[in-house]
Amino acid sequence: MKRQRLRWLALLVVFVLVVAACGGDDDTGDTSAPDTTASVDTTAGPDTTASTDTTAAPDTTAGETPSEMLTDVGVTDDTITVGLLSDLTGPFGGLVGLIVAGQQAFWANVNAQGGVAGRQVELEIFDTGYVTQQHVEGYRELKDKVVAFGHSTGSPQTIAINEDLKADNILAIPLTWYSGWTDPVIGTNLPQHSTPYCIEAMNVLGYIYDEWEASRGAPPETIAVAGDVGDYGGDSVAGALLAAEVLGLEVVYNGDQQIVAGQEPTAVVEGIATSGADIVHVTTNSGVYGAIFSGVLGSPGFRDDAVWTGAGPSFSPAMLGTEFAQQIAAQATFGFYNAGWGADVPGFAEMEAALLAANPELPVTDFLSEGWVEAMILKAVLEAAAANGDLTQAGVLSAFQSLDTVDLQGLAPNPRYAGTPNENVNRETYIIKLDLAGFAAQGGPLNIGAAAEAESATSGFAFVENLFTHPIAEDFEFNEACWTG
Amino acid sequence: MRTRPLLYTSYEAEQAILPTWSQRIAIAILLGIAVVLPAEFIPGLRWLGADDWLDVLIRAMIFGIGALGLNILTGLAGQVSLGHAFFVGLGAYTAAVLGGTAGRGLWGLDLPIWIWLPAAGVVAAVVGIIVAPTAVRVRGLYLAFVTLGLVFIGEHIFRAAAPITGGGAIGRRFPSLDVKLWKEEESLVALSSDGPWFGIELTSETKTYLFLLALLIVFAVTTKNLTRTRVGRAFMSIRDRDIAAEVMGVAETRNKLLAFALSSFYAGIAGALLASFIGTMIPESFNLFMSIQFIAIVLIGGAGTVAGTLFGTFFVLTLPRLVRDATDWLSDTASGGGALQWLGDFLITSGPGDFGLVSTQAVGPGLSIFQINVILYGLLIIGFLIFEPLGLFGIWIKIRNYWKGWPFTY
Amino acid sequence: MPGPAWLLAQEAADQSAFLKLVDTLVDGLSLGAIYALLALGFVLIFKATQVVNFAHGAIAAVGGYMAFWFAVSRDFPGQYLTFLPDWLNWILAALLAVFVTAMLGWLLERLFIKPMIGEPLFSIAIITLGIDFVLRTINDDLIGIDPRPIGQPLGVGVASFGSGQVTIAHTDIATIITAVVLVSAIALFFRTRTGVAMRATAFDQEVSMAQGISAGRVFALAWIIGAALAATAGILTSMFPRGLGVDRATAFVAFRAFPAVVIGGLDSVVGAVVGGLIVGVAEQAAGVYLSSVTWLGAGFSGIVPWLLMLVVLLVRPYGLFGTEEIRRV
Repeated sequence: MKRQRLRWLALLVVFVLVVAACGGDDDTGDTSAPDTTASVDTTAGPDTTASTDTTAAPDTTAGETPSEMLTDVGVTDDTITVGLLSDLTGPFGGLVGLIVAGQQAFWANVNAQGGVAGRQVELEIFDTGYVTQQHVEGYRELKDKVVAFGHSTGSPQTIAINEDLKADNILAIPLTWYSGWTDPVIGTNLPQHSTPYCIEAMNVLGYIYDEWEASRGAPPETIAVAGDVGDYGGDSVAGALLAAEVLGLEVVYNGDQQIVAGQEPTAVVEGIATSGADIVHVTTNSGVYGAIFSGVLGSPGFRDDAVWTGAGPSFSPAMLGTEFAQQIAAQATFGFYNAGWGADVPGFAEMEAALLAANPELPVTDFLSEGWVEAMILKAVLEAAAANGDLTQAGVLSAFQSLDTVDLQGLAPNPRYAGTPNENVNRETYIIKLDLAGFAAQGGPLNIGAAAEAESATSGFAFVENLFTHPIAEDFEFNEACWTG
Repeated sequence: MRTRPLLYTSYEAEQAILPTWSQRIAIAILLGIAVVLPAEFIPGLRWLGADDWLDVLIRAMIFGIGALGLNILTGLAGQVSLGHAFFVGLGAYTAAVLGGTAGRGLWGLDLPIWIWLPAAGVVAAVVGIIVAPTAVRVRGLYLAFVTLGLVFIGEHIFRAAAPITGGGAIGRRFPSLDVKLWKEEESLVALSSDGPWFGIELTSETKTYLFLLALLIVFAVTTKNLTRTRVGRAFMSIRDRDIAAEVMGVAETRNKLLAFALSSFYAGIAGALLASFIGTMIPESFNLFMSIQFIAIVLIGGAGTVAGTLFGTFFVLTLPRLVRDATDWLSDTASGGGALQWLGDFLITSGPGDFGLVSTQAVGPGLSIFQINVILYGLLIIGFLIFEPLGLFGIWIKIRNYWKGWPFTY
Repeated sequence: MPGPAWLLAQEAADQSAFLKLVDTLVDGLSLGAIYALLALGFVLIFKATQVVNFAHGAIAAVGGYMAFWFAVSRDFPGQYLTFLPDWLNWILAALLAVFVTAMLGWLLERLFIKPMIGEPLFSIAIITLGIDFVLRTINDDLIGIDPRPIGQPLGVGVASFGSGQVTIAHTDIATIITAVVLVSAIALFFRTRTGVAMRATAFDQEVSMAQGISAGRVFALAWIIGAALAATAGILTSMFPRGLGVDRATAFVAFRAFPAVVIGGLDSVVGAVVGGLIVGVAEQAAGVYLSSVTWLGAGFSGIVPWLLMLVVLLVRPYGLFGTEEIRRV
């Protein structure tokens, strides 16, 4: 019996400890920021008594009373429920958490202005942990509760629910930039946005080629490529190889599908180091990118005049805090999908205000606007569906299928949905370098509250070109996914 | 006299699957509830019959079949295996090649379910026999590590075998559960779409649920029967004292091989069912985590018994959903008012400035509710094993003993 | 008198191939040193308490995060000891991180493992798995979005030999030295009174208790040392040239050390070190020499340790240095 009591005590102590640990760092003081409610509910506007607050606001859709609307799942007379399939505890947990924060801020802002079609928009978030089974489980649970999915994280996971989406006539915005979403064979229910990985690779390699030729007198001659296992690495490497062919670069190392999660990238490091390439194009996550760069840096074959690049998610401002910050800042040039923090575009001020109101503690990163952009697209689709008087799941889908474009107010290239894949696909890429000086000057990473007060703030990325399209990408005939495994 | 649980007057009575009337009645009631569950009219259990919960239960039943297999190997024969996910994967990919559709460089023969489902079990069992000689040489923890190696090596092979598996992080479609005679368009029994059965309109979830319930019962009864045979007793003698068993004439190696083969057969069947239920899976799904889930099921259920294994399966597979529902409810009470609002308010912080221990935001100060779900899952497993190291079955024994001695229990 | 040109070319090629081999070995040894530290901590805990610690990787990641927290985030104790050189302050911070993680190991043992003494061993293993979920989730939350660089005491310095064809990062040299020092310290520790008590408990728990050894103290000590070793490995694996810093993947590093544990023999300290080095060198060599063999598949070097483990177990079912279990009826 004594032992039994000891066990109870043990468990109690632990529970208290854990709970204390959770609450440990949330003493943010009593700011007067408005109270945004929660994962399951973003209805809160400036006041907390949200659900009753459906009174008229400036731009409620005119002449439409809720009762005329055709609805089935996820839409009531005063709410619209949108699902998010988000990786919040898996490998991209932190990043996707920010994107979700962007979505929450957007819908809180929309709700404060009266919502969509006179209805408040609520989010139903499911944590997929970047696990395919869990993703499918989340889809099946939410499909009977939501009108559409505000995002679906990850290429393999989105592919896994794609057949179901088609069968159930449900729309989902892919949170991945795989080129297949623009391919009508694959992406009928998936409104893509921003430039896909393969065209991004063409733009960024074209940019590097031109810059190299201009600054060094002669063009670069060789390239080494490597990428993650799966669509993400495959798509990007496919674009890089196409660009290399057009530019006449010799591929001295091809590490397509060679980077495996959870393993030391020994073979890729060796391949790049011994190739002695002028340009190194690696597509993976920022942790592995750092491991590969530092591995090559510590090898006999390292070249301090080579240019390092890769798809956007391969880089992170965390690189600026490392031993090799100087080195990688001098050598890296890469692509990105949306306008950076502080960009001088029409949509930025509204986004900044909404995010500040939601949570000034959010770190300044250039991924914050991704969630906002996704939500803008979904709002446009929902409004089109409401205008058709059909807010059913199928009605929302068909509203998307007859949509031409969405004005993203400069936060990302406007998506096109009306034409052929070749007309639809986005070809504009943001070209980025690492901003070591600016980052050091502001004393490291800032949160958006501090950034709003500071004169200038950087996430650590310097946007050197906005909406850049290289002739290779311009001339590229896009009819189907660049890469299908 | 007849009601004393440990008194047997014949060998038949001792060996019976359900020796007492109370057990027979309990099982009958349980089965009855299970069958009518999807009709959603049992008071208090209506929520469990909804399609999204049936989805969870279907998954649990598929895992249950696999766990019954691991229970033969670990619970009966005493060989702890962390390699179960590898055999589950083998079953899944056998189903994919035999029942799946070719294209995009993938192999697929479009054969009907009555071929690919048994074949999935057989292929896994054959591979089980092939790898078992390595495993039989080592014992205890070394065995656990050998089988752990199997999962990592298997994952690599699955990733590399793109024509079969679709390749790493891409995966492929698996055949649906529809029953067909051959390759005709119209299926004999359509499980993957809504439609009537004997005049009753049923959803696809309900039909799949009933189909798997029947399968699970078949596998559970088979396993229970196995424990009553010569083979089952041989397994248990090896588990309890292998050298003594050998001295008594139980062929150790042969029986261990058999245990591996049987357990792999179950795993293969479970893999084929799981993959075809989920629809698309990637090679990385058949990983260490899946193996660990299986071993946790067997240990939490209480190794060695069929009932314990099934309890364990439902505990482990429904726990994440239950935890999620509980925390969702808490965050609703934090904002929605009601008698327990103070509790929700105390526990949940819904933004900067609001007091609370857990954040409902996806990012920001404190742990998010999603992280809390994972932590609670871990803590519940810890707590469970600390209080009841013998598993759910141990709890059952305690309850039974309490009533056996009632009213003279201390 | 120089020989014919082809002979010279041949000689140069031979020499270059040899230097490449040396470079591979050097890289493999520094990787192996990290595996050895992980394996050693794992074996210590297993030997003393018979517990398979699935939370070892999570503890390593906590160690890495603590190093970030002390050395970078809080600059403690560096901000109070400005007169000391930066590298020394970094080492103090790292030691503090190791200490805090060791205390965490102690706490875990008291709370979760002690109440389980005498219960089925695999139940305890599943408990450590639950601990892994909890620790990893909290640590992931603390780490946040991006990897956390943990400081730069040695920068990106690289020493090179053999006309630049053999290179080794200064941090790698430090890693190897750290491993050698820690392993020697533990070998010496086993000769002290407490160390002997520990070995006695590992050998026979009941008899040693009858001799007046406190098994509880020995268990606690094993977890403290094990966690400290894991934290050290977690810190070393988060530094140049292995990556950006401590991130969500750091917790999985321990799985890669499992084959090392088994190759050496589960209950052998010498085995853990030898196993770690073998695995490190084999993985590195496979990455360098087998990457062009495409039919082996991408990431083949990652499963070489596991294949090696299977081969070793086929020949020696108790690993290279493990004690053969004597079985009686």
